[in-house]
Amino acid sequence: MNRSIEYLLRRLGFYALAAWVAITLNFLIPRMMPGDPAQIMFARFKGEMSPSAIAALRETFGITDAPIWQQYFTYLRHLLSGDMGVSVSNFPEPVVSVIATGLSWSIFLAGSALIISFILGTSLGALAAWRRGGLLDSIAPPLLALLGAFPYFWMAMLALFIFGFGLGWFPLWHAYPEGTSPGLNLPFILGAFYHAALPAATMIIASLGGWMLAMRNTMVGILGSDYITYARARGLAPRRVLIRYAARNALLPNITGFGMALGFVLGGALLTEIIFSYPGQGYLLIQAVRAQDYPLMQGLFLTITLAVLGANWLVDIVTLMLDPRTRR
Amino acid sequence: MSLLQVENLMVDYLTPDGALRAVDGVSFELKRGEILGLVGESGSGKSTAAMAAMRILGPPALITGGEVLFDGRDVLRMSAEQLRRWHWREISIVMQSALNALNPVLTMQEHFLDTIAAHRPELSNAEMLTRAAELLKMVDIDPRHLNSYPHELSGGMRQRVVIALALTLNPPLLIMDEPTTALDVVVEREILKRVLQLQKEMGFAILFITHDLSLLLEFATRLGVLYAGRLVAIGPTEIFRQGGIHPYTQGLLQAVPQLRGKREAFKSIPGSPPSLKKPPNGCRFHPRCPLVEERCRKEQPVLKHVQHGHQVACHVRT
Repeated sequence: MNRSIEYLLRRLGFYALAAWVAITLNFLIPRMMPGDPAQIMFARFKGEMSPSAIAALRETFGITDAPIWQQYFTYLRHLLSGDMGVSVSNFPEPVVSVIATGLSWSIFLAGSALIISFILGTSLGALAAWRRGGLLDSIAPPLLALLGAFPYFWMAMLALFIFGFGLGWFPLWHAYPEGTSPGLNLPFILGAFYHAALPAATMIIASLGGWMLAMRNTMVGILGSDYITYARARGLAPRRVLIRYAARNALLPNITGFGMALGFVLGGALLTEIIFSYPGQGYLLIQAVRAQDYPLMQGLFLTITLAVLGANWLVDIVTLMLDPRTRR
Repeated sequence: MSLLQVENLMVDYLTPDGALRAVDGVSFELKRGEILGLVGESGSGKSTAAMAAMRILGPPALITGGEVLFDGRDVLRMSAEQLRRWHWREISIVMQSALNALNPVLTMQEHFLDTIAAHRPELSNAEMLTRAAELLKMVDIDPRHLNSYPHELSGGMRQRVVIALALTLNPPLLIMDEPTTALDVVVEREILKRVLQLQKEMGFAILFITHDLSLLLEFATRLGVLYAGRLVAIGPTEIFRQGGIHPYTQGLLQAVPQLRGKREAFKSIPGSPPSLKKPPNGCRFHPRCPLVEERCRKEQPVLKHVQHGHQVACHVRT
């Protein structure tokens, strides 16, 4: 057990190193590009800005005349205290609070879609492999593969057009009804679920086939192994063989895929959020690019990088818990 | 009444190029407490026959004919639930590779508890644990290994655990399908010695499947020899010790090096076993047989009684 913790700490050290590299690149790249955020702001106000105001802005964005290494340490210090600067497009809101809002919507939408899709897909895959050649196994994989093969933006727009615009069953945009205030009140919570339903459904339909096929294929391999034959020969109940012997082992390789997907959840579902005008990370990113909002972009990139690294570490922990062969 | 009676068993493997008959009309019986050995080369159908008799073969294998009686009950007509209850309480198996027979994510303890709970759900957890520890001690493994995972044990230890698992419910019949093939000779001996001791104490019958004829000569009560899916000789071990009667058996015995007695060059049987896709006509051994006659190429020989309960399928010897 101690060696497992040692292993996890070593992995954490590796991820910390990777995070440092990402943070440093995040600092360097905008400084190597021409122009700076203050100039963009200046351009926006069409020259009606005094030089002292520009200087103050530059100060706010952390771009000073100080040597680059001093800027770097200031940047690190600000980052550690949770300060990623001020968003240009949402001026004067700080980047951290802009991202916090986007992040919570992304986690809510893409996170629940991922979890539902993963649980549903792997269960269907396990069942299809268990009754190989049966009804579920013959119908579901080709059908889901077909649905997954449609270009996602096309399918999502079609869904929005039919169920949102045509039939009027679902809202056309945003994450919660107008007139409700975010917080722990019933109209807001119900409204949030109502708004997330259609985009989440399109994401689930697009990804379900992948999870199902991956699980089905590993499961078919596992079902052919000796310990399944041996578990059956010992007179174990079929359900127990299915869950504890077959599915439990077949799940292991799919956990990695789940972890990767989890990392990208925090980056937001770009296409979904654009099509459904959903205010998550992906939507923010597009806005940031359009408005050349460098501080926000930087903050988003950093969040995505840290999220992927964090998700990887989570996978390390889960794998360690589920697969005794990885413990030493 | 015999414990296990297999009559004219036929097993086909369904391949894309058509059915392939792996076991072709094999019959044998096993009495309580005896050790029946089945020998044959790879692909002779010995494992398939045993697994078919236990009904643990899955697709693409299919039992296409014959009868299997266990203690008078028709095994081939048992329902899934009847099979589940029959397995392990009355018939258990030690499979070839113990490395792969254990679920890599479960501890030894979980393997034992799953097995006991499947058949004796009325037992308490503590009673099951006591039984599991007792079983491990029976095969000379320290009960602290109950908390070990399969990958933490050596090959020999894993094989012992699998044997202990097979004896969990005191079944009257134990099938051992090449139980020691993956182990080195020293470990093989130790484990076999222990199994034979346990067999004497507990009195279960063993159906022992191997390609190692010399091993069986030491302890089997009776022996059956399979060639290309057919039984070519069966009878008390004594006749085999004296050299056998069927030309294939004789060839096999001459291929066993002797430690004592006259120094002789051991011979091998020329050729290789036939393809089951296109087995030779008549006697399947005829292309390799030193005694081949015209009749052997056309007529399929049947098992005939020769002496002291020894039966062979050979035109020349009967």
